[in-house]
Amino acid sequence: MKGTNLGEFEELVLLTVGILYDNAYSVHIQQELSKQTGRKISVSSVHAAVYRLEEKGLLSSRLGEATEARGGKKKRLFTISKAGKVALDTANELRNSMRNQIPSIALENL
Amino acid sequence: MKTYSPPKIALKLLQLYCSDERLEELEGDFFELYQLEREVSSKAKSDLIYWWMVITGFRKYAFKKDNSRKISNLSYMRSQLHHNIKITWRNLIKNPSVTAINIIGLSIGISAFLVIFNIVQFELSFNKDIPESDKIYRIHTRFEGTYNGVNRGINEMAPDYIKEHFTGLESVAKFRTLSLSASVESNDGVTEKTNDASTIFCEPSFFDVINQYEWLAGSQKTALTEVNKVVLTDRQAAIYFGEKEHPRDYLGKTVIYRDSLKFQVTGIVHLDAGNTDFIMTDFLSYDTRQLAYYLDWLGEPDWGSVNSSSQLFVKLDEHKTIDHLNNQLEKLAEYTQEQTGDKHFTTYYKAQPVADLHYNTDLYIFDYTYAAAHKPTLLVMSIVAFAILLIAIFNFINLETVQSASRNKEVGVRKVLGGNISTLLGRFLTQSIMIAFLSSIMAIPIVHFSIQYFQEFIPDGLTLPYDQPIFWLQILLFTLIVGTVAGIYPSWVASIPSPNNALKSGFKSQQGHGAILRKILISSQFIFSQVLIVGTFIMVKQINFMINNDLGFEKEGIISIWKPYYESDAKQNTFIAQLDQYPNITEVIRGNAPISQNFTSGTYSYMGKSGKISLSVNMKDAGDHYFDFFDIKFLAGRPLSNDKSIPEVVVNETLVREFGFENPEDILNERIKKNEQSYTVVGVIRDIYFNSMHQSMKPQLFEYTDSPSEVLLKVKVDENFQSLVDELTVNWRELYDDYPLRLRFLDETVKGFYESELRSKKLATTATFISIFISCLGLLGLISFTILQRTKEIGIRKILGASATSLSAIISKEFVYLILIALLVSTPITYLLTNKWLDFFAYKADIGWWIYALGGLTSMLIALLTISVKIWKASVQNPVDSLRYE
Repeated sequence: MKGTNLGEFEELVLLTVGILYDNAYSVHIQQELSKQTGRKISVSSVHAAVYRLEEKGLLSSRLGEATEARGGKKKRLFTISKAGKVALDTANELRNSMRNQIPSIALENL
Repeated sequence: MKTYSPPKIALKLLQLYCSDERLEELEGDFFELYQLEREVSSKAKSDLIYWWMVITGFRKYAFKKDNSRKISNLSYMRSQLHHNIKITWRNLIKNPSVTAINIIGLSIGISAFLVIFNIVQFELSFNKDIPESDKIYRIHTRFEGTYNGVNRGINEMAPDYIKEHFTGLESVAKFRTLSLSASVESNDGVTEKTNDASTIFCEPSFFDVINQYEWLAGSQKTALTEVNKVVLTDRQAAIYFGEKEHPRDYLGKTVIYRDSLKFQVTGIVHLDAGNTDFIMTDFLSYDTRQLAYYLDWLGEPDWGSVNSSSQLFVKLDEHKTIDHLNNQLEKLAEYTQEQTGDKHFTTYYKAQPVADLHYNTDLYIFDYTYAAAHKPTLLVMSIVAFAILLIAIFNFINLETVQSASRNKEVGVRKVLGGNISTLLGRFLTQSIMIAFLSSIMAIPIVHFSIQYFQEFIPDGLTLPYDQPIFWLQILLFTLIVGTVAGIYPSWVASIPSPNNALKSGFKSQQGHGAILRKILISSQFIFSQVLIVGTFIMVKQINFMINNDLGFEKEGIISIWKPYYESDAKQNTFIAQLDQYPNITEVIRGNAPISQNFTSGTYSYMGKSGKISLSVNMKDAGDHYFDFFDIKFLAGRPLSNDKSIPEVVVNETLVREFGFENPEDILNERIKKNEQSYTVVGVIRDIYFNSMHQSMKPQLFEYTDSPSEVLLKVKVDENFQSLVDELTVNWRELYDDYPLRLRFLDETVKGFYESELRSKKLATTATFISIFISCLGLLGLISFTILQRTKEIGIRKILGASATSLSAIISKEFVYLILIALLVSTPITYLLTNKWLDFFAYKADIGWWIYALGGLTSMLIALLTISVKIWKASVQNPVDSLRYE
């Protein structure tokens, strides 16, 4: 199924949401992601990713409180869903298992 | 904490595209990021970044709605629509009279619009398929001097000169149009006539200039380079020789024109164009025209003679402007003058863009048809079409807004149950679009039949494309637009009252404001109707004036017959001698009818005291008893005598004046000259109208002749007249077997001058009726509503002793005011418009103020008649019924 495959950026966003735990909303995700990766990331691409992940069912969301810093607007807070955890684990496992299958000789003389 | 507000326009943009569910969080995110940015950098940079966020945020997630919600939304909308249609249908059925008024009014408006729209669209679609048409010009001739006028042709010497001396032309194509009978030899050697063909002598370059033909067989380069060759269109070839498998099978066959001229087919072309004036089917090689036979038949080319069939197309080089061509044409005009040595008039050459071909009513198209379209007429027709549609829409708006009060209960209940403005608007717009839809359905048969009624306005070949989906799509779209435009305001008015007010009994929605709008709308309907009524009156008056005015000569019951110009006088004398035996013919004379479509002029001069005066004078031949026959009044002198020793002339007043004489008597026995021949003036007549009244009076003279080519009969038109025509036809056939007898009634000739005016009159009359009809429908709807609203008032007034008459006066007062206002506003508009129209005529009918008064009275009467029945009914109603509460 297409829906469960994770793109690289999606995986990063998913991880970030996990890291931020109870305070994961778009602006925070963008800042954290930029800090962690050292890449410049636009808020629109974060939006695109989180909404897509929510659509896939890997993230769940609720509306948070409105603050003055947001001009009185509520924020949408994301948390990893059960399916999200499974997807992360699967991706992680797949990666690890494949990494382990590389014969050590292949990497020796680099 | 201090906050910065982000750029407003960008925010607006975000709010515009973003769906409601996403807006809150996105706006918040963007706001927060903007604050962070402002802390560290300038306003300009932050603004720029905000803008960038808004622009890059324009993505699927921002406007896509949540999926689960979307499905229910769709089914919700579907059921809503279903519901709306059902309710609308019940509503329409409930008030059949209002529905009928609405639908009839709107359908008439729509039909008028569709008919005219189709005509205009058709006329504007001509010759659109010619490649590079902006570079193609037709060179035509203009004369100034003794004869003023234009001719779409050019003398046959000029094209060769142009080819040799002009620069900046990509190609030059001379051609000559003519209609020839064509026949082909069938297999058994018998020649079969087919119909007349639209033939054209043309150079091969014709196909370079008018590059819209596809060559199916033969080649453009060689097909027309030799004499006696012909290129046919594929359709014409099929008519001559039957369908063939391949176009090349036609090549080498022979077509015979005019019974004996054999042409070999060397090419087949196909024209795949929309509406086109290029209807020629047989292209004959131009070189053929130089053969002795044709020189004899069509005349030798020379610089002096211009035939309207000999025309010339040129195509400009790329980057060359029309000025470049015009400059050279001026030089050519000078050269022509040297060649002809003509002093009486000057020839000019003018370039007409090929795009103008279909729209020039001075030059017309080719010789085959006279169906050129008149652009100002098209414009006027479009304006009328829009105006009629507009008053139909006004009508609709009026009727629907007055009804909105009766919908208050419905609106109130809907609002209480949670209906918001947009669903209510949807409900009422559905109703108006449905009415528009029903009107359009009704309009289609009306359009179909009115196209037959307006035959003379309908260009040849216009049919409604019922079989094309685009036609129905257009109508559907049009219906939607009309329905929306007409319905938006009434729906709005119906939807805004708050449920509290709407449910309160006796609440009148938007009373004051709506009432003023209604009054404005109904007044503008009447202004338009008023302009049309008075305009039509004035038009009719002018036309009657021109047709029935005393022209200065008798025109009733007079027939003119022309003999074929190539026939002898002897035959004509035989024909005239036979006329005596018919009792229906009371008098016969020879001479030219005083009024005719075509006339001859010549330049006459007079040596006065102050020098020589030359005039272009209209010339007529007059035989014995001519002036008695027409009852033409003499101011001085006597009629022409048959004394041929000194040529005599009778002249008109205008000629006397223009030669500088004060009194008619002064010119008697003076000599005037035409070329070297001199004439003695023996009589002066009162001016007669020998031309259409568009023209001012010109000098005219009569010369004596006993053998003119025209005979004039005075006849009694009674039950024996048809048998007279039959017998005359038999006599005529015996004398001239190849030329049909044509009887021209003089009064018909007079009418013929005003054909376009008579057509405009028909259009104006119809438009008047339609607009009055629609306005009255609106009035009827409005009065019913007013009466309904004032039921209680009328009842109370009656109880207090008001009579039915005084009640009627009270109710109709409001409408009389409206019509008076319409009258006031429309009068200057009518005055300006009709004066513009009257400027086309040198002689104008006397238009008094009473015509305006009469027009006002007419519309007032019509309006009062319309409302009187309703008002009277209300006035005589038993007050018990109107005042009862339950």
